[in-house]
Amino acid sequence: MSRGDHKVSKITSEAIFAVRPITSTSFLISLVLCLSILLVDIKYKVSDEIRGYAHDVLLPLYKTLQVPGKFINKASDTWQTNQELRKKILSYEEDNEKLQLINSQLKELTTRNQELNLVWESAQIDKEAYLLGQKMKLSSNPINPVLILDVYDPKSVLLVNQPVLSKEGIIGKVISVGLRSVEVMLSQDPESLIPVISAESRLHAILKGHGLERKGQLINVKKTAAFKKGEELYSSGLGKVFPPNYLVGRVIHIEDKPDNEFLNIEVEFLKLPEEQDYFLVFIK
Amino acid sequence: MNTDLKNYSLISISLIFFILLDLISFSQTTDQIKPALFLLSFIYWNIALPERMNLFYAFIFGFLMDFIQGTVLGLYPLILIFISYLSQKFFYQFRPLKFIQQAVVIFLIFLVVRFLIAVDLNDSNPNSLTLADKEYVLKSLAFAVLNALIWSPLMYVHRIYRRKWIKT
Repeated sequence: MSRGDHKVSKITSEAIFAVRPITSTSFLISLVLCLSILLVDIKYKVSDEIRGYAHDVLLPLYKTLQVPGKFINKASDTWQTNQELRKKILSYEEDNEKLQLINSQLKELTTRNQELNLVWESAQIDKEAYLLGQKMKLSSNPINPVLILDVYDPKSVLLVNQPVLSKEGIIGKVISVGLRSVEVMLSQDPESLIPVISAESRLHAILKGHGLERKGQLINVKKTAAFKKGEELYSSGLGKVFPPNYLVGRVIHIEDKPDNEFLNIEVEFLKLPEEQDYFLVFIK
Repeated sequence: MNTDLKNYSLISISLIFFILLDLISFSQTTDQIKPALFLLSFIYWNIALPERMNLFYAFIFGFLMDFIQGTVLGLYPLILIFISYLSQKFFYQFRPLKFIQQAVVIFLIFLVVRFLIAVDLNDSNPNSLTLADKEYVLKSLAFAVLNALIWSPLMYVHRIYRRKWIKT
């Protein structure tokens, strides 16, 4: 036994074979190291550069977890023998998702075009602008919700800040890119800020998240602003991160507090489709 | 295979297995209150085999958890280092405790962990130090209670695994 593996009793001079816990020095060194990493990451967001690649490494883990679900689905599909038909249905489903999304955009565009007397032909929508991403994981942390998508398309360029959409509208933006995995900051995230315009009153505002299953808030809205309860909010396109005219949420509560210089406007985000496995990344 | 290496591998395998179980997704509410099996397993190994659990585990698995959970890099290693240190410092006192007393300790640990995760490190809410609201506190309480309840059965499972496979 090497020196330092045991203590010696001062009374009997016998060895005390006690297990030595982590020493205070190593604990303190580790603590300082962790705090340094934490501070560097908070200040410079360095982890965003590597998170995408980390998810690439973890992809087999995520895929493994999908095996039981896929197996069950496969078993239930065994009665269907026509492979060609199944492929066709799958491709129609993908097309359908894209079309539903485009429809939601068209609804808002129609209203705007009518108001501005623009020609209908200006609303040319390119289906190639969307990449289909398969949901790998949705983080259970309610105040830091993160969605991980597997977007495998070697021809397309994935970049940070590209918007991510469900069939209803905007649900977040890409914050980290790997070889084929992307980490998405959801619009409910407390760090998320989306420039929006209201559908009826045509007022601009910034929508801030407050966590998963929590209401969002329109920030710094003057008390004279005439937002209406129930009106829909669409992305305004200001800031050039999110494309304009996509549904983001709905105003559900307006309160004028005497001790607050701004209006308190609560917004209900688009419901996160838990069952939905595919999302769209807007790449143009 | 070298016994030490075999033991380290077996401990790591059990931790990875519980990470996999934690990754299984249910409804949003269930996901927020379901027990954190990985953390419970990590506590068990620190108490059962403190001589085998070093801070290397806390770092490796901490960073892994940071990536999986999307938290700021370094937060989970920090939490695991604290858990490791406290578990190894007080495992002599913890082991003889009754199950109900152990459950109370586990409850407190998990409550603290949940509040640590809620600290507003990115300053997204300038008016408050934490992002926790009433709903978060309630769900955290439920989460801590569930972890405390599942501690005893999980400990038995770990004990069986340790006695069958891990030679010290």
